[in-house]
Amino acid sequence: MYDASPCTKRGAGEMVATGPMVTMDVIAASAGLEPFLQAPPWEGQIAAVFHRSLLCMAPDEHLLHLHTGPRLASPFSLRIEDDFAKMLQAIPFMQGMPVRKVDLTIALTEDVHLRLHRTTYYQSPRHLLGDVEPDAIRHARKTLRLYGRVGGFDQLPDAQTIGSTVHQALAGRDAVQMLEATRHLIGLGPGLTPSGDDFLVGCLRGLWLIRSNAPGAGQTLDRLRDALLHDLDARTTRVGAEFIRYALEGAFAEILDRAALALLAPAHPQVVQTAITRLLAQGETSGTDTMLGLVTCLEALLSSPRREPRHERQDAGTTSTSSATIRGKMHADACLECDP
Amino acid sequence: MLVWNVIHKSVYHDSVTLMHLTRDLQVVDGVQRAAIMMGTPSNRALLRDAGLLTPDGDAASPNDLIIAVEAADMAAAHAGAQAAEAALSTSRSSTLPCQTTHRPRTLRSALTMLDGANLALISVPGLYAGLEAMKALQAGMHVMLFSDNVPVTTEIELKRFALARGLLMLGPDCGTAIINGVPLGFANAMPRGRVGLTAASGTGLQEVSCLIAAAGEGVSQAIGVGGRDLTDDVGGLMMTHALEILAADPATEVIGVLGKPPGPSTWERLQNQLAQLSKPCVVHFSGSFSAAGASWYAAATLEEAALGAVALARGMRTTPIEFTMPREEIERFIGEATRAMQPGQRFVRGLYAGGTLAYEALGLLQAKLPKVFPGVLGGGEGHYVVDLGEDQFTLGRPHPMIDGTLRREWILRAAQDPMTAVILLDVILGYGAHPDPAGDLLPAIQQATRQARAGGRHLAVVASVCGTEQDPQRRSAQIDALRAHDVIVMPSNAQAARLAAGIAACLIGDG
Repeated sequence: MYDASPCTKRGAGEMVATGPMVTMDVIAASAGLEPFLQAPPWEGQIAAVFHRSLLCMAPDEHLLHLHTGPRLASPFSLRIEDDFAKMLQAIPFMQGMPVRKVDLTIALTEDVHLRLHRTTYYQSPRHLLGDVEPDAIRHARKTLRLYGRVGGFDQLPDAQTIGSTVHQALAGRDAVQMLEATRHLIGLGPGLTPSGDDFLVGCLRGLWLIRSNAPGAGQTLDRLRDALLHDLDARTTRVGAEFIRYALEGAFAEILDRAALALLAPAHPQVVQTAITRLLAQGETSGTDTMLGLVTCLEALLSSPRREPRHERQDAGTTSTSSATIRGKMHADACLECDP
Repeated sequence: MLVWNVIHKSVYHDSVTLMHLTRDLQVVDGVQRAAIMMGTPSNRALLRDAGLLTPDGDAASPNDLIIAVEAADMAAAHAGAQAAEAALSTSRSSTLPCQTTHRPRTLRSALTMLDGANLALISVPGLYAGLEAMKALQAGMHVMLFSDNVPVTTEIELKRFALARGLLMLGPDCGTAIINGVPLGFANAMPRGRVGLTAASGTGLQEVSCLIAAAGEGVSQAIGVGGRDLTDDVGGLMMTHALEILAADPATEVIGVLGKPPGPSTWERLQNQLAQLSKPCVVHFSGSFSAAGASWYAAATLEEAALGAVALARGMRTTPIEFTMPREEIERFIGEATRAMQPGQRFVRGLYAGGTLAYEALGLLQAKLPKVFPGVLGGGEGHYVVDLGEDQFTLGRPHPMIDGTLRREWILRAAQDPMTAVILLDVILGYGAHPDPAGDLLPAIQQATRQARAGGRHLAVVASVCGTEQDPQRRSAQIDALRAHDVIVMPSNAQAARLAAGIAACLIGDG
């Protein structure tokens, strides 16, 4: 489809010519990017070049995560056809190179264009139908123990203490304690998205998953959103902050959503296993840390003695809970493909 | 002690790069401790508490990268920080545009650099692999296709195209071959000899060829055909061709056929071809598949296949035996291993890098013990053998034959389990493998045995080393290193698995 010629010209703010014209389709994108991708022309730049993906920064510091693969890996992802991976190896992209969006096309260089004409937008499901299956959570914990990567959150000096505090706070529906624990998590640990951020995002996925039916979950989310949004950039990396910002609004990576949905009844062990191992393969420990947050959150909410039904939202569907399960409703038009 | 911080302003490196870099830094001479973290307030507090933060580091912002090194002296600190900077500057995120490279990026440009080349080794993502392989075949070259995830229809098309032109199409998913004495992919340095092998199994081919070398013989050709060749979909297209080549090769006196169990109709065709061979032949298919036939030697294990081939080459008959060591020595191993074990210690944990070796170990354990599971299906309650080279483990990280990180994690995890009695390992040498696989695993083995000892338990670690003296890692050096740390090293994977089973059986008996 293209030849990997070296670049031929380059200047400050100028697009780079890299060889023959290459146009690729953006297959899917996170819904949070839709207004922005449909907006008038803008110019941004490449913020980082990774082995398998690009990170672009658009005006107002919007991040775009460009990658291939079967699932959106972040809540600010553009999933591009598979040739993109080959192109990343062939073209010497670098930090600071300009990126332009004109009409429904993003130009990465003069010759490499991404088309948005056929892009579908992925919306994280917010209202879920199904019971969180305790057996699935146990299976998830076991999978995490067996397949999870070490060296992330679990290796931090205060990991156990923080994990226990989060568990207690969620089990006790103590929004103040949760906020306190969260402040310890943000920006903590190794990685471009610090392990604490990943853990927190997993917790937030859990809270959103069942907020309609877990008393106090919605209140905790509101409290966290109000308290955390204003100083996120001072507390963690730009990328970590972006993940948390989206998570506080209920938007997550498709790959995390798949793992979370796999924990709803009827949960088939193989489906749970597949969805979770896919998530665990993210980054060095990001997938593991995120899954750990999700499982910790769901375990805490399942273990909670306080299960009085409480209607928090009119559209939340049934709110009755039992000691074994927590119910939620899935939005009818949740943009999910077939297999988890 | 001296603490040194280097700050990289506003950089983005992926987590995998940062984690590997931290590990690499920690082994620089003179570096006592090292950490590489983004300069968030929480991380700065962590570094401060650890005594690894300097005023420079304290001034970093959340988007700055802090490289923190604690070293014995200034020179070591500087060396550590420089090593980190050098590694980061060569990582993908710092690649400069217009960099020139002399690595050919296309088959055409490679051919201009090496006129007369007649074999292409292709390792590109599966999606593109078929196309690249076809280009090479169309250019009249033999192909070894390392890539996996190639559709089976593409494989059939490529193999038919190659056969029509008398070319080899090894793979897809072909990891090992030795053609005209040249090791390709994950292969071992091997003396040339009179046994010709063809295999639909990478580590199986390595194990058999290495055991042939250990027995004093050599290999004429080792033709890997790819893991799917013997399925009924592909119908053994390339195995058939390989057998024809070996039958006609004057240097080949004995033929060895290895692989996963073939499909029924493929096996029927293969039997007809084997029956017509004028050279003695050994056949081994993994698992319990019976390859019995009137005119060839059906071996039950890889070791038996190797020793059978050697015996046939020497005009001798072979009698299968469980252990090549004296029985007393085996009993001594079992006695010493089990004596210090606690009553709860019962299970074997097979942690493998080689898929065929894992499969073989699984079969041998299942023959001797109840409750033996592939992978971790049985949870902790039972013996298990895990192939850590499977896709689910290697997504986004190197294969365990190249990097022992994942296996080290699993070793430590197994050691923490009070029910673990034996850790069973394969150590695979050769080109492409880790430069010191034993050394790569030993820190985890040491830590595992220490942990167990601290808990009042004794852990038996049983291993086999698949390799030759000519390999870059030298087999005897690897064995010595393992034995120096109380690892029981057996002459073959089959014997290692049998010993592990013997230890576990003894524990059941005691229980």
